[in-house]
Amino acid sequence: MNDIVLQGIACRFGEVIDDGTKLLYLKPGCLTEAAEVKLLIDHRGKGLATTDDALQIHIGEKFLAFRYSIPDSWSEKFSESADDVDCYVPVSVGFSVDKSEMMTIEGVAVKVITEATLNEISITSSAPAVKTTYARVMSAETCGTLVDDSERLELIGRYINIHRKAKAAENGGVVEYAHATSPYDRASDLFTKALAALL
Amino acid sequence: MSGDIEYLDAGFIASAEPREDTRQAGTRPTAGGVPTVIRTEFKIGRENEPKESK
Repeated sequence: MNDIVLQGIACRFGEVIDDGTKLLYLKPGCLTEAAEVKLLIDHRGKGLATTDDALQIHIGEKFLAFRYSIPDSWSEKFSESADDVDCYVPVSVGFSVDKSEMMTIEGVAVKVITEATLNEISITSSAPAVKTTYARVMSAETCGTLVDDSERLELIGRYINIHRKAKAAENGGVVEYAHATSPYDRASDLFTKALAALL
Repeated sequence: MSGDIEYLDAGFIASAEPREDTRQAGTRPTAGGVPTVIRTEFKIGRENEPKESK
């Protein structure tokens, strides 16, 4: 197994999603995976991986979890500190709609998707429509199977959403969907750990 | 409609250039004009305890 993984939640089901142009509702159980699902950046390019190699996905009743095994050659040194770097990025998905219907609720149209095929998962540089998506880097040694870890991944996504809101409150209401601790924060954390080890 | 491609980005329109999201996402009401600041310690930790090395 590779030393480092990038993993998180890429989509949620059973929630009304506002993508800025319309409202969508992905019915639980609506999504099936294409023969090859890709991991892309901003929905473009050749991609980082596919489900034929280093990408795993788990489509649950309420969410879509994924795990990408980062190649060993990229950074062996980073694996030692991967768990200490508290950072995350937003994630989106691209899918083709196989079956849908329009529902009007209080005069507002909602596109209800009942069947769809997942084509790709993307790390995005912009805001995701599903606000609680994220991906973060972890060392593989702390991971179980993706299915076993998926409930925890889902919970972390909810927590990260609270963190984004808290940071926005300090930032004039502007939500930043990507976050990384500063070098000062990391150094401070290491110092605190070193002190704790002396006790 | 069947066959549509959807991307779950805020403000992303299928088959068109991504447009800038101009909405004030995350703006929250303030009491008396004073921003409410919540400081959250961001510590998630590991997914599981490290496995025993063999």
